[in-house]
Amino acid sequence: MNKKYIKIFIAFLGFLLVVTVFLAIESAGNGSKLYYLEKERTRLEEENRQLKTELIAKTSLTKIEEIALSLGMKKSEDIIYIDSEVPIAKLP
Amino acid sequence: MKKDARLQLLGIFLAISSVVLLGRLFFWQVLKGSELSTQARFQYQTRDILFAPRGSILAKDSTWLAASEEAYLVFAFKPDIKRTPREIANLLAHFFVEDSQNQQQLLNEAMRIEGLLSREDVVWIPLKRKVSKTVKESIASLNIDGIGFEKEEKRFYPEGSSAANLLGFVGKDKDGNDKGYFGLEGYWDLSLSGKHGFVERESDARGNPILFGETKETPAVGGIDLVTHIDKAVQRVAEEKLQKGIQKYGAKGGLVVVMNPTDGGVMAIAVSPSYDPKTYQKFSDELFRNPAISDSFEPGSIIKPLVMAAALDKKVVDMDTKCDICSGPVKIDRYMIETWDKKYYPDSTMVDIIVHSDNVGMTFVAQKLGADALYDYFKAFGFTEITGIDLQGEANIPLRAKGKWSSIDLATASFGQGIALTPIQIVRAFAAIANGGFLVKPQVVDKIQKGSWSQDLKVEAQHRVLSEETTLKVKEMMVAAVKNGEAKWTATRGFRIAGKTGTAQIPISGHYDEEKTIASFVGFAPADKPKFVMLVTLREPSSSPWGSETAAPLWFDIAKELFFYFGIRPES
Repeated sequence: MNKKYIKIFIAFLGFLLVVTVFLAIESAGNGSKLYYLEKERTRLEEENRQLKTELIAKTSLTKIEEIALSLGMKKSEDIIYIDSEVPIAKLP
Repeated sequence: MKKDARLQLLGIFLAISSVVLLGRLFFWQVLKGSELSTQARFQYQTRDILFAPRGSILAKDSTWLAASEEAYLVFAFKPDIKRTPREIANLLAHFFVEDSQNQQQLLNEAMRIEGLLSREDVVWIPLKRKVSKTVKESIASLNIDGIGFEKEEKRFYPEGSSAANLLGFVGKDKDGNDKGYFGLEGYWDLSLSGKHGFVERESDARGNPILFGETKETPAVGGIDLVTHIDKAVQRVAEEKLQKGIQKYGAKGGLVVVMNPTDGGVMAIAVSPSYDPKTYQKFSDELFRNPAISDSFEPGSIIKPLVMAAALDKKVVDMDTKCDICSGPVKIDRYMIETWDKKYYPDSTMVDIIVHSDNVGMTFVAQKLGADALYDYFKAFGFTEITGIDLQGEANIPLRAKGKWSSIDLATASFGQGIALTPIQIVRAFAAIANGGFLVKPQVVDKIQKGSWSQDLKVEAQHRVLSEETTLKVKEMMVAAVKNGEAKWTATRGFRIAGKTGTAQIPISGHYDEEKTIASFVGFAPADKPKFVMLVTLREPSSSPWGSETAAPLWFDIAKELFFYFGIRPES
């Protein structure tokens, strides 16, 4: 009877040992994954920030004006207002 | 050797060993304990700063006026340095100067770096702050031992110096931390500033975090974004035209304020001379102030519609009341009040007085109103206090106390002398005429936001300062002033514009300088349903001292562009 309990106890200890080793390996592996994911998150955040900075620079009014002028666009000098109340042309 | 002797020898040996061991233990545990503990903590604990960026300032259309970009602090860690200070200085100098072709700049910078690296008293030396990511990568590619980088951020103004006096700038506080000064950056500094966080946890030998280890984390709190009423297009038009106007009329400076009269939203404040917030260090401190909110000046004739509004509202005069002292100069105490052009119009109506900008006529109006009533209306217009605009640096000069106004004070105040107002106070008062009689609080920031959260900054409860009937009468007077007054030659035809010119002499050492004036024009359009109220002032114009010949044409030049931008159509 006692031998049976001892065997069970030893088996249980063995099981605990295996579980501990397994958890330690898993923990180390997951720690490594976490480290990698955090690095990746930082990289993506930096990239996102860089893209945002580029977006800000390229959508500024100053930049748009520069591009518009380089494309040959210019500000209209004379503005003619057309009275919407009076028809421009009438059917006979 | 006998057995006892061997045992004794072994006992002595063990005793000596124990003493040595205890001594050694004492050394490591007690004497070196603290140092080793720190070293161990560095080995198994990592600490990372969680970066919190400063909030952005956005224009009305949610495009950026100010944002933060990634930057780096370049530092030297002396124990790791292997090259000579001169070698490192020569390698780094051209990354740190503005113009790398400028040999003098390069030499100065190299000497500065070499000087820093040669210091004996320090281990960690900051070499250059706020370098861009590109520069950082270029330096990193040189693999200079002992040169490292620390992440920080720098302010970025995509529109350059546009709206500089509205935005303010980000400098350093006494501890070397970023801090906003002047304008929005100063007023909203606390909200815009982020609070950096940190994460501290146990790591294994390879630096990977131990999942079941101890972790301490304080999350970073990023700064909030400000969405303003500033309209980039209006701001740009105002700045361009102001610059041209200053050159054309030979003025020393000037400003333009454009505000929505209904909600007090400030669409633009253009100031010249101004500065570039990115390189604020290169400019004089005087340029940082926003004269639209900080500098008071005697308003001159632009005050007349407000005094007239007070008299009409108090019902001491009406549109067709005739001035019975307008046939010539009028004597008050020992002073003679004259008209600006020495022309006199007997029996002028109130409309005529505004159209002719008649000082004698305004003296008549002020006498009818009385000093206490005029003070009460000035107080109602907000002239006794700052407007409370959300910009840093607002100031005002208090009015003379009620009950202490002499008859000459009353007379001169009626045509804008002897009192000093800031441009924003004037714009706010005219907005009350434009919007039907309500005093609005000027406001630059419309809402604050962070990610998907946002909060509208409600316009403070407005209170009525003039009856609607009064405002309609004053509007008609101001429309008549534009059509038939001294600035009629320059008025944009076809549009109903309410406006008034002003020419204020500058008081110097107790008297008025005849040559130096502040020319101004204030108005709103369309007169019946105004989209904007605008004030233009030019300081000491040399082509002509008169507002009608300088500030007024500039006002109409800007208004012409705004009509098109706001879709305001002519009436004829």
